[in-house]
Amino acid sequence: MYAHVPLWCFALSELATRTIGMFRPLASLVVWLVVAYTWVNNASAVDGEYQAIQSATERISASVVQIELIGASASEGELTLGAPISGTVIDDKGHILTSLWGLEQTPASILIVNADGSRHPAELVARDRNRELALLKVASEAKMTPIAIPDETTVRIGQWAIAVGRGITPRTPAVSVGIVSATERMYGRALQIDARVSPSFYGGPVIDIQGRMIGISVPMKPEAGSAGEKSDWYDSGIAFVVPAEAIAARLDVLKSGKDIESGKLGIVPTSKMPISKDRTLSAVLALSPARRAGIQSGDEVLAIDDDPIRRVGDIKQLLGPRDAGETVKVKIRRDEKELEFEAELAANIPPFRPRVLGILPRVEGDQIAIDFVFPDSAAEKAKLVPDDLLTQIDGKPVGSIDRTRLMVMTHPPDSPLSLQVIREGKPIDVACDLQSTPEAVVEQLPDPESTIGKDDWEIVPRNLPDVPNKSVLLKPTKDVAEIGLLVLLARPGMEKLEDLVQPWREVAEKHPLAVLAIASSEEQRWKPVESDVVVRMIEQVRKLLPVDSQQIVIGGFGAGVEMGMMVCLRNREIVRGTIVQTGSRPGGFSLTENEPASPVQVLIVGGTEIPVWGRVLKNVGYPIVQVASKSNDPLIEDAQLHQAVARWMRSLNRI
Amino acid sequence: MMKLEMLGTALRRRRPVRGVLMLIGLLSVNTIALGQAPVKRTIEESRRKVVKVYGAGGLSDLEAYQSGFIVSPEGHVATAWSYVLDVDPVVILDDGRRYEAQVVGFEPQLELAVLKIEVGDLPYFSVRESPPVQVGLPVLAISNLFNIAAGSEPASVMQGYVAGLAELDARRGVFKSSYQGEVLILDLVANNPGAAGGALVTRDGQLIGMLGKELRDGRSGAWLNYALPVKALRSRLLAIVSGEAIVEAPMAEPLDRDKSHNFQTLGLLMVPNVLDQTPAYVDAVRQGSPAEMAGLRADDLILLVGNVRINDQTTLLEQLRSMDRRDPVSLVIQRGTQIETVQVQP
Repeated sequence: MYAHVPLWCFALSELATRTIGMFRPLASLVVWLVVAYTWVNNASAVDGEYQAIQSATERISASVVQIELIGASASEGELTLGAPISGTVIDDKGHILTSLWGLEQTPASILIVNADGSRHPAELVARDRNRELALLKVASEAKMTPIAIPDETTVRIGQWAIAVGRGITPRTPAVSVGIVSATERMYGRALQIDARVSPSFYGGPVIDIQGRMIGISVPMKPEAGSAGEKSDWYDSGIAFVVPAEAIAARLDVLKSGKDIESGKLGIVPTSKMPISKDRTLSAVLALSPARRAGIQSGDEVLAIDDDPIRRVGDIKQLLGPRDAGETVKVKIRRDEKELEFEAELAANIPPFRPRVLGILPRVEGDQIAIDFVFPDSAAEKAKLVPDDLLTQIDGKPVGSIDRTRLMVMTHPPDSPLSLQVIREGKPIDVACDLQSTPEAVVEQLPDPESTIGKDDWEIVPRNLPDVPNKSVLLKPTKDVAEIGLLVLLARPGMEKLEDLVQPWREVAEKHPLAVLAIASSEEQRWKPVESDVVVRMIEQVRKLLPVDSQQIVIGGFGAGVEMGMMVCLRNREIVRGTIVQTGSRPGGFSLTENEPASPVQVLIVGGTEIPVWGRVLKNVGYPIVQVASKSNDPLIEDAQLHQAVARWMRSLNRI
Repeated sequence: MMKLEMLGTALRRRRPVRGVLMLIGLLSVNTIALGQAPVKRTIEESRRKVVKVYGAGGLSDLEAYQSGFIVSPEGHVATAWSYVLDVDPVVILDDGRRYEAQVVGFEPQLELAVLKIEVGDLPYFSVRESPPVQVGLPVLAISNLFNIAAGSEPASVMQGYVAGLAELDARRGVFKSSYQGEVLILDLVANNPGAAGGALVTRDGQLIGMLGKELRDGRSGAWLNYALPVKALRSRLLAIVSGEAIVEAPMAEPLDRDKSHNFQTLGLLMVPNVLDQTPAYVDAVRQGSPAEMAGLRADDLILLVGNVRINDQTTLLEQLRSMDRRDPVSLVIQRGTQIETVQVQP
């Protein structure tokens, strides 16, 4: 009894501060009591805190279980899936909520371990992939004590947040103590707390100082954070918690066995900058809810479900917590008129497959002229010829090259593109049946006008002050108007980087092309964190040379191939393509669909059939181009292949 | 943030985030100290009892420094048993006084070593008594992590809570450490390079643990933050300080192949071990074998041997290999949705 007194005071003092306005006499009495007890017992604030933490934990500890996953093993970042995590009992019918960590694939067995060490097999009922949660159900009759899940939010920034788990040992609950750092993180899906949350806590509840549930710990990765996996952030002081009220609202759906997916609308804002005030859309994906609802490219988004959109980032923030199947109201402005559409969000939008017209553009004054028409392309069939000026697409005036490419890329597959061009001063209307990206590299491209001679090239060492990675750059010594950038990641342990760039010299002169070879920091391997190094080196070259942003591609040798692919897919805002040898085995990163705003293409070198991983990439919308080679080390030895790579790189400019 | 992160990167490339935290930790102690005089006094007094230990290292990126704390007025220093002590170490007190130290005793199974410096009348932590420790206890970790405290600077202080108490012998093979007893798991990022041997104290300054070496959890791969409890160290520490230095043999090796259990001795045929971690499913049971007598059947999934969790077939075999084949084997299995315990008698 004695031990409870300070805690009781602690709880009351918090109550006192809250109700002080309404019940001032009572509040001051309570405060006086606290002072009195403190004085009598000589109990310091530290003891009160200790006991408050213990008591809060005790209140819910019966609802926290350990979860063992048998046969779930894979590595994610530096961690291994399958070690015990925590779970939260949410009703008396055997339902247990946990994190998706280790449960994205169903393991051989899921076991609930109680405090007494007893194990009970559980089944996976449903997953909430939008919030990284999994709902389990225990088959046995074992009695469980549920936690109360509040359905309204009371969370304030700065309040106590105690993560509770049993992943370390099932017998006693473990705690990690901190405060709420922020709300509405991860596009409105999670709270952020500063408690160090390690994987053993994932799936366990986070409570306030009185033992009331705030939410469930899950691994997530801050979007703006560095490259890497969501688990890299464990114990970092940045931990994410799915709020209780978001869980309460979805329990019935999950209990019915229905998975929850994040809801997709299918719109592409013009600006990639979240703080931009340009709220217009540059594209609306084919077969998307937005397209079905009638939203068009060029529309300006004003509000989603009556919440105003002020900047581009607001769109993601408002759509983030919405699930597939939910309906949203989208208010837009089109031609000075405000319109409102209703769209039912979809779990999947059929992968975006870039459509192409088959021309290389060039800027002519403030217009776009055709520089080259690809053979057998939609443009050739529509009888477009070089020097035609593009004026209108689908009745809308043509904007920048990037905008035009995006409009063509996302054009619905089932309808022709109507185009107006000016030829010899006269407007001509043409309808083009767009094609998908050809799977072979174009045989011939016109030689670009180049003013740099054979001797105007040099190989220079490049490096960053704070990393050990060595690198060399093949570059022209004279000014050029525009140049492609081929990045080659060396085989770990490879000493002479010059040998990697030297063979490209002839091709580089012709196209022109700068070639940057980068070595790994360690002799045995490329580490995922070196992704940032590669990106910084690319940015450094971009400051030095007028690099065409459409022509930045990464290839590699040995482990550098897989690394190059990872760097490319993680940094799509910068890198447009990746070159992969047919025998490589890419992996170790999560694959997401190709995105219209930053589309990526893959060049497979060697072989005649697309390897399995290539087909996987193709299925999620990445155009795959394959070039055969007889050489064992084609990126070094095969001069013809070098020409093909250069033509492929220039083709990335295609509209 | 950026700048801090870069500092962290420079210090330890593999975990940039840890570096940041340490500094945040230091800041929060300040806030506590402002409001609460006892904690401020605790920090002042405890830091005087924590020392910096310098010794061997420098090769393969190994740090040549760690931490220690004074446990007797005559200059006994408790620290972590490690390669740093391969040469006679140097101990630097909080006020910058520097002493050549001698290793007067060590206990590999506790990862504990005791040094002696020739100086008297030092402030020290009493190890004879330590308060009971429960989850949620606010603690201060004092160490020279990352060797940040240079020259005469006192060690760094971080604050946090005891996150959990874990009995390690129930999780054999998890810690790549020869220490197998109970540890205090901490919710602060305490175990960075150089922190080993540092002191873990309560907010009123009572010693409750010694910070351990950097370790990863063998199952999840996560870095652990933990301290060895004083109560586990006490008897050996006191014995060494009182002059009796005994070194015990390290842990026993696994048994010879012809003396240990394996799948054949029990009559188990397991599913083909083709995956990285093949779950320990029984494929068939030999007729008349101990496994059959015990009631094992095809498709049973073996979950535990004794109290060791079996995540895959390889672990199962390792466990069997460490057991004398004349001894019975206690298994916990899953059959459909049932969990059963079986005793296999050889």
